[in-house]
Amino acid sequence: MAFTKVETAGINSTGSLNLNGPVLIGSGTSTGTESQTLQVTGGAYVSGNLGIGTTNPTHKLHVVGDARITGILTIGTGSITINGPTDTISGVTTINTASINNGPLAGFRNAIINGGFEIAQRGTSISSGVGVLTYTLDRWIVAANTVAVGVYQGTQTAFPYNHLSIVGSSGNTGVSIRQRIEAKNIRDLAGKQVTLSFYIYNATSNASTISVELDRANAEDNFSALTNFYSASLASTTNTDRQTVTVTLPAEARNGIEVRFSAPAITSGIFVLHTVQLEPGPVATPFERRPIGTELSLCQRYFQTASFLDAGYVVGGATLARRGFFVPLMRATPTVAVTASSNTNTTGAGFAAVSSSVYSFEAVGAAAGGYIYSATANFSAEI
Amino acid sequence: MYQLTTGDTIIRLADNAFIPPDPANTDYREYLDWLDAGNTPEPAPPPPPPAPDYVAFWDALMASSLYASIREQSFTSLPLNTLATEFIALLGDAKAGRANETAIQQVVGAILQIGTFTEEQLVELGAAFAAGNLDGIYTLG
Repeated sequence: MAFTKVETAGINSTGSLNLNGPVLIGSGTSTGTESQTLQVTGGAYVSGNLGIGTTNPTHKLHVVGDARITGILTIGTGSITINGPTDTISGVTTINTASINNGPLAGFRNAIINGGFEIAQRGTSISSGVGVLTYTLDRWIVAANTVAVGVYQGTQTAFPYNHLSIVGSSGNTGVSIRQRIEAKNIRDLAGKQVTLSFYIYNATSNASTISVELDRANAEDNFSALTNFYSASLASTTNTDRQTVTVTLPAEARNGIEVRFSAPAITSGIFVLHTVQLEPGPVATPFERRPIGTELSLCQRYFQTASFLDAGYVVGGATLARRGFFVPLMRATPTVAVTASSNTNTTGAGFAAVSSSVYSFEAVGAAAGGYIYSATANFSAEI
Repeated sequence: MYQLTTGDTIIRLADNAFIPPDPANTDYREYLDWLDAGNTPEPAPPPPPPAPDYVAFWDALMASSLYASIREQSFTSLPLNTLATEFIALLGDAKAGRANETAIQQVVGAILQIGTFTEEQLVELGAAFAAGNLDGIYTLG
């Protein structure tokens, strides 16, 4: 016997209750879709385990499948909250995990050295030269076509960090800003996804787009021959939005890579690059600010300056030599360029690099008597 | 452009930088590429003349018959004895790094003028000067 509708004050059954249609509890009006066959309006109490997507729940709430919470999820006694609308997790004192954003958990995420442009051992104002790769602020190469441009370390308070500033020159037909990352500093990321992030402030009249290119060296740390694996054009304006590029490095990136920003021409105005970061993973995390001494040491693996003075008594023709040590050790035996020297009763005051760890400071006595000799030199083991 | 040196370092003439022969040095690799392109570096500058070595000169002089002759003639010639004493004093200063080249040349000339020496002994004096790298500084005249 089948009833189409039963209205009763209560049901008290010890057997099963089989219903074919929707069950509405607490309200006589359905607010869900027809596929939602159980509607509880008001509270519900389940003393045992509640399973969703499982017929055998083992916890008070056991969901097999995806769950979505649009409000705040509170875990434990309220000390940990996950707040979706504000993208925050709070109250966590310990996280046990192998990786964050597919990279190291903390520190030295940024493979770019001097990405904040704080270090300027060669000086804070340098001409780019024409048609040559010129090292400017530490680790950063600038090359200009046709007409040289001025390269400066900018310290405007409008930006959170120092920046590399290009001052345009009439007749210039192109400028590139590059950093070469040594094989030993990038090979762990070869074959993996990385994110390049940077800011550009373009107050020039003619460089509305720039290109961002990534090349890898064809042989380890030898950038005389490169292979491009990423290239994109980006609009550049005076806005201060952070630009990001996510790319998977090729396996050959273990040879070292070159990050290059190119502008078609900078003939007037100022072009600024700052806060450059290359890190593992698909997300651009906040710029990694390293202690200034640490950043300087990272730069000095590639470039150092030294000054030396010696005085005493010498006889004519005698060789004077003192030994100094590179701290930190340099990448390779460096090229030596003496920038200043003086000789009093000596000749040929200068330096000679012996290895990546040692240099000598030398002169030859002119005649018997007191002497003073001094010299300053640049040591370059750039790549 | 590059220039060789008497050692294994290369001079880059654009900035007079000294480039070590380290295969990991980028500048050295650029130099090798420059060579491969068929370029030729400038030759190394001539080495500086050897430094005077008055000890070697003195040793060579004492071993010569010329020295024995001066010593023997000094027993009977007060002027030669005086010049020889002065010469020894000047050589002492020279060995200490304070050579008075003008005074030494004058004394040598006076000794050769007052004393009596054979051609062979004069050759020995020239050889002693050469042993001390002094043959470009002093003459027998």
